[in-house]
Amino acid sequence: MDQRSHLHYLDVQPFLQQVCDGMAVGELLCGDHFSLQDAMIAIEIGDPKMDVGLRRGDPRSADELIAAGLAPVDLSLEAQLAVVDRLMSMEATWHSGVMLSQTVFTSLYLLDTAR
Amino acid sequence: MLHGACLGVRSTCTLLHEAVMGGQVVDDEDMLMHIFGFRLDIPGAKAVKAAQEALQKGIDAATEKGKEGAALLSRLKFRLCLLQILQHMHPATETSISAAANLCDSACSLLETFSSSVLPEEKLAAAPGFAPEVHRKAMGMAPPRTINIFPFDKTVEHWKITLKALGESCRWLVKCTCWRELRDQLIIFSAAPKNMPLVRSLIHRAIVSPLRAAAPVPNTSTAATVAVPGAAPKWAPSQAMIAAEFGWPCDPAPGEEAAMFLEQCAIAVQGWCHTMCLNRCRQRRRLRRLLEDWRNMTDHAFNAEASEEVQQWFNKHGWTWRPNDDEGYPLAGPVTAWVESISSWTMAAHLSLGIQLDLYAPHEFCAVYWYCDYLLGSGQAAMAEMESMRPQSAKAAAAMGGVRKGGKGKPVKKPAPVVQEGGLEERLAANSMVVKADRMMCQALMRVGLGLVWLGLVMPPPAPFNSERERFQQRFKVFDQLVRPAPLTYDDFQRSTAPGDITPPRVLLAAYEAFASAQSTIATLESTPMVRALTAQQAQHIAGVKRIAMQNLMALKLLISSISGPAAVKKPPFAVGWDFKIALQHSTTLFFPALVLKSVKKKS
Repeated sequence: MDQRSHLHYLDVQPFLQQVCDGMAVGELLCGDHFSLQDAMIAIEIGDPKMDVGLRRGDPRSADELIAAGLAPVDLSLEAQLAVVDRLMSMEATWHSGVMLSQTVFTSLYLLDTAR
Repeated sequence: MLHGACLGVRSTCTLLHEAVMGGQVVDDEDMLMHIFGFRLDIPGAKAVKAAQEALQKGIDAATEKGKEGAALLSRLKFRLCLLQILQHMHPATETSISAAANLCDSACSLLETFSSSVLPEEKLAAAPGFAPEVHRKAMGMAPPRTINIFPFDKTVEHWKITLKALGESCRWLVKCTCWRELRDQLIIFSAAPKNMPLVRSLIHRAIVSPLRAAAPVPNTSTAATVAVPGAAPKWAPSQAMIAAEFGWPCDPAPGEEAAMFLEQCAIAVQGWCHTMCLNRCRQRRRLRRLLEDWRNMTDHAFNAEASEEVQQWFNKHGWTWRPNDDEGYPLAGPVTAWVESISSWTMAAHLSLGIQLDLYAPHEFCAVYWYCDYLLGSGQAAMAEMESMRPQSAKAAAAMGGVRKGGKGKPVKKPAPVVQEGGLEERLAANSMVVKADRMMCQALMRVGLGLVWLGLVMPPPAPFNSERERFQQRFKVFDQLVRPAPLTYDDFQRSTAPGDITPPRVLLAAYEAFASAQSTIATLESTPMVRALTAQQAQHIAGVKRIAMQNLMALKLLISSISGPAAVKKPPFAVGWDFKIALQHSTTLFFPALVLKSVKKKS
């Protein structure tokens, strides 16, 4: 039995848009118990620094990116040198306190060395 | 070539990751080790071997056509050298660590060949095959932060500093043969200005991993980590190293209590080595926590000395120590004195790191330096006490030599050994002079702190919720758990610093005399042969102390002249500052400030 069959989703975008069109700059619409503390810890949807669910950059996986040709195998010497030097810089950045997954392992060549 | 380079980077990251996890001295503020579940490399040495083969293949196939070809070749050679260094660091033996030190020099030479990239930074930033957000989904619900990737010249600089420090550390590690040498070197190592998590991890793992490897198989009769002779390198802080401090045999130790002391002391000393390899902030906290271990060690030392076997052993081997006084009460012996000297150092280091970490307000300097003076004195007295109990017969035999029969039955005097015992005595005497100078500085700064507060030039901030007694207790309460050295109380501080009939000019004059005494002690030391027994770090420290004492003498002269004589004022027209720059450049454990006086214009 599909447990989600009782759920119905409504698109409230038009409703929200109508309400926003009727509001002036500086107006706040909130519930009775909305406090200053709530205002301080509230996140702004769509703000890249606060919204953890916001899609950033390319959502494709490593395999998809490789399949799309973002990591060509036939590289000139200059391109190979650029990759090697960039990897070295990434490695040093890891040593200084940034995560491996955001530095060295952003290299598609490193993620699939068998190619 | 790219394949070899990628395998090399991957294996380097694997080995470094293992080293950091195995070293256990790195925290999140140093380096982030989380890998979000993806595997770095296939565990074991196969992957490293495959990487080395691929790198060698790339080197063999490389041509030096053009700048790019030559640059790639040098990078591959560097990566191969790096892998060899990491392999030699573990498992750590004297041969492998010496080899690692030499390889560090080779790697630094290779780095010189590519100190600047052939390609501009824009081309590096646009290098193909990099996807910054490829692991975003694996990283969970965490807002991203801007990542600033090192520019290439900074990367090369980073590797140069790291490899140079690693090479130097390997060299001193191999030379350590006893506890004092290991302790002195770790004190200097711990004070390195740059936070180098990789070097700290590699060195700590090299220090303790041989002990883990030499540990007995479980379910044997003893649970103690007995270092099998020949199994652990000389630098490893083992029970044998501790036993050598007293000339004891390790296996078996002289009695059960001695064996218990050695077992527990090895753990405490290994904990101390671990603390010295942490970053500075964690070191201070960890030193405080270590005091509990050293508190327990005092008890174990006392129990060992109270045992009949240890007393008989000391008696038999010529140690001059009375276990009991005339009324039959036990007296502290060499083992307790040794533990006390380490406890004193640990307490002083904990206090002193607070200066480096900028944790004290100027009005607290009086109390801090007052306590430091006491701890230096206690530690020195404990070491002197222990040395005085050491058997003289061994030293005398070494100095005079034996007599053997030469040709035609004539006795021939064996030549005396060159300087071995004299070297130790010279070192102890030089250490003693350095400690004396440090104590003079502590006493001087205590008096300066006191005088400035009495003159109103340094005002304690208003503290409506805590009395001065409570603030003193909060600062020094952690020392109350120790028995030796006996902790000082606020009442002791009050007695030492009560003004009585002493006027501010008089106390500043006493400070002046103490600074002058520190200077003359250093001058005496430098004019005698003892100065060659100083380590490089001690020589640097006393050079800094000399400069600081000179500056403070001049500042005090100005201050004293303004508050005494015919034109004396009640409150000198100066704003007082404290400059630790010279101390932080020269010293590793004790930091003394230079007094800075700035004229304050009177408001008309």
